[in-house]
Amino acid sequence: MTTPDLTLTMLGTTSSGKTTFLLGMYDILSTGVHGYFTFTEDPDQGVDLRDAWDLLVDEGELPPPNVADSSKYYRFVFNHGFTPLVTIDWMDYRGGALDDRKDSGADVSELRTRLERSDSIYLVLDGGSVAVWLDDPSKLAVIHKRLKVQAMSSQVLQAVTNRKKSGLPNPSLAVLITKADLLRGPDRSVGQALAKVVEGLPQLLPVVWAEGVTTFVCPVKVGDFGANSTGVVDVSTIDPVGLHRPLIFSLMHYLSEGLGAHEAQLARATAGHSETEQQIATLSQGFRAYFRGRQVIQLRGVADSYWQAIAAGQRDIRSDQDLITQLSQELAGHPIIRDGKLEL
Amino acid sequence: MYAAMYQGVEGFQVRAGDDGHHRQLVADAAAIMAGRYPAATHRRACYDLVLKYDGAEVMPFSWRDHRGGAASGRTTDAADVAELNRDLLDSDAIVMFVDGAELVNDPGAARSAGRLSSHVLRALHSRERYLTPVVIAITKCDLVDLGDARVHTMLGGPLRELTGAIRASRHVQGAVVRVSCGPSPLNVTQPVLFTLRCGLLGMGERLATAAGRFSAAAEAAAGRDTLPGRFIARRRRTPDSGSLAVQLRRNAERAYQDLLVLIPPAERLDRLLRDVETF
Repeated sequence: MTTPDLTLTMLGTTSSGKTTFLLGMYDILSTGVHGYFTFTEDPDQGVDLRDAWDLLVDEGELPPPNVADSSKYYRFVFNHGFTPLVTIDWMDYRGGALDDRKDSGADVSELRTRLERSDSIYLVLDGGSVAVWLDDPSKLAVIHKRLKVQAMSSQVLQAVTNRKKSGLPNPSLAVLITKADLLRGPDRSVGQALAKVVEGLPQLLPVVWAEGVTTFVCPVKVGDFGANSTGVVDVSTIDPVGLHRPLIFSLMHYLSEGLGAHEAQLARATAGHSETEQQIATLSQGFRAYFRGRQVIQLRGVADSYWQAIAAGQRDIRSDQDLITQLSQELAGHPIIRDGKLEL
Repeated sequence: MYAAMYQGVEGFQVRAGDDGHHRQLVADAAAIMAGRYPAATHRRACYDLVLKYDGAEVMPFSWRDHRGGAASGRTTDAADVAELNRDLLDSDAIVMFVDGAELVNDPGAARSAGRLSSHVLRALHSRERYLTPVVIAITKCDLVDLGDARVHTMLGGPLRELTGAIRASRHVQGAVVRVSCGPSPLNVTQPVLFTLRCGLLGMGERLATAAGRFSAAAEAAAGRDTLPGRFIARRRRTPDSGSLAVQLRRNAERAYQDLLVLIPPAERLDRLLRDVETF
C-alpha cells in the first residue's frame, strides 16, 4: 500500500507561536510519543528544527518573529513505529494575505490556491489574546482584529466551497490555542478556560461551525513562559503539552474521509465480481458450453482479479479502521466539532 | 572489538582484508588495553572484514565508522554527514553507540541520544522485505553503577520509544548491549556477533529461497523435456529442457550445500548470544 500524502497549512498571526509550536512538536515526535514518530524527508531540515529547539531549551531563546512573505515548507514522514502512515506536505504560511496591506492580491491568490489543496488547516490563536477575550467578552471585536479572524475565516470558507465544487472532501480544521498557560485565570483553570472557549467559538471563530466541517480544538503549550516573554525565557519553565495531538487528529480525519472512497471502491469490485461470476455461470450452461472453454477461462481470470481486489480492499479498510480507533484514543476527552455539533 | 574477534571467540574470528588496516586496528586495540584511548574519529572510516568460523571464511562484511558529530550535522557542513545518511540507507545492520556515562551525568545527553531515533527510522522505515538488526551499544558502562535501578532508567529512557518500535516491528531486530573498553573490556564482541548472526540468517534465507526456486525450475524444465523438443533445440543450437533441468538441479544442490555450511556457525552464535537482551 502506498503512503498517502497529506497537505497541511498552518495560519496565524505573527508571534502567535506557530514556529515555537512546530519546533516543540518536531522535537517530541522525532523521539517518539506512544509509538508515533515523525522525521523530515530532508535530514538537513530536521537538523535546523532541532538546533532551533536546542537554542530554546539550552539558552531560553525563542525563535525570532517570522520574516513576512517567506512561508516555510516542510515534508514530514509520520510513522507508527516503522510503519509509514502519511507523508505531510506542511506549509507555515507567513504571507501578507492575513494582513490589511493593499498590495496583497498575489498573497491572497497564493494562499487560496494552497488552502484549496489542503487536507488539513491549522488556525493558530494566540492564547494570550484568547485570555483577554475570556476576561472581557466585550473585547471580541478587538480580539477578532488582533487574531485576523475575518481574514482566516474567509480564506478557509472559500477553500471549503471550492473543494466542494471540485468534488474534494472538506479539509479538517484544528484550532490551536498556543501559549495555553496564559488561559489560566484567577478564577479558572486551563480546562475551564478551554470549556469557555469552545462554548464561545461560534462568536470567536464561526467558521469552525460551518456545515460539513470537522474541527479539533486543542490548547498547546511549550512552556509556562507568562505573558511578557519576548525573546528569552526561563528554561526551567519549558514544559511541552499537547503538541503531538493536532497531527494525530489530521491523520485520523484524513483516514476517516478516505474510508468512504475505499468502501465505494470495494462495492464496485464486489459488483464486478458478481457480474463476472454470473457471466461464467451463463456460459457454462447447455451444449454450447463445450465451445466456450477459452472464454470461461478468461472470465475466471477477471473474477480472480476482482477477488484479489476485494480481499486487498477489505484488508485496507480493516487496517484503516483499526488505526482510526487507535488514533482516536490519543484524542479522548478533547473537543471535536463535527458538522456544527460538539463531541467530547 | 577487533582485537577480541581477531584472537577468536568460540571458533569465530574476524580479520581485516587489508593488512594496513589490520595492523592499525591491532595497534589501536593494544593502546586501549593499556588505557590510552584513540582521538575522536574525525572522518568516516571503512574497514572490509571477513568472518571466519573454525578457520573457514563464512561471510565478508564492511564496517563503516562515523564521527559522532556527523549524526547532528547538516549535509552542507561536512561531506561525512551526507556519507552517514547514505550509509544508513544501504546498511544491512546498524550499531548505535550511546555514551552511558554521559547519559547518567549530563541531562542534555538524553536529548541527543533520543534524536538518533530519527536516523534509524529514516533509514529503515521503508524496508520490509528483510530483517535488519539494530544494536544499541551503551558504552563506558565501567563508569556507571549498573546495579543501580535509577542508572538503568537513565540508560534506557532516551531510546525507549525506539526500542518499542523495534519490538513491534517484523523487519527490525534489536539488541541492547552494555559495553566498556579499556583494560577490562566488557561485551565488546556482542554487537558485531549479533549483527553477523542476522547476516547469516539473511544469507541462509536467500540460499533456501534460491535452492527452492532452482528445484522448481528444474522440475518444470524436466516436465517439458521431450524428444521433439530435444531435436528442435539441437537444430537451433540451444540447450534442451533436459540439460537445462540438469543444470538447474546442480544449482539447487550448490545453494543447498552453501546453506548447510551456515548452519553450525548460526547455531553456535545462537548459544553465544543467548544472554543478550534482544527484542
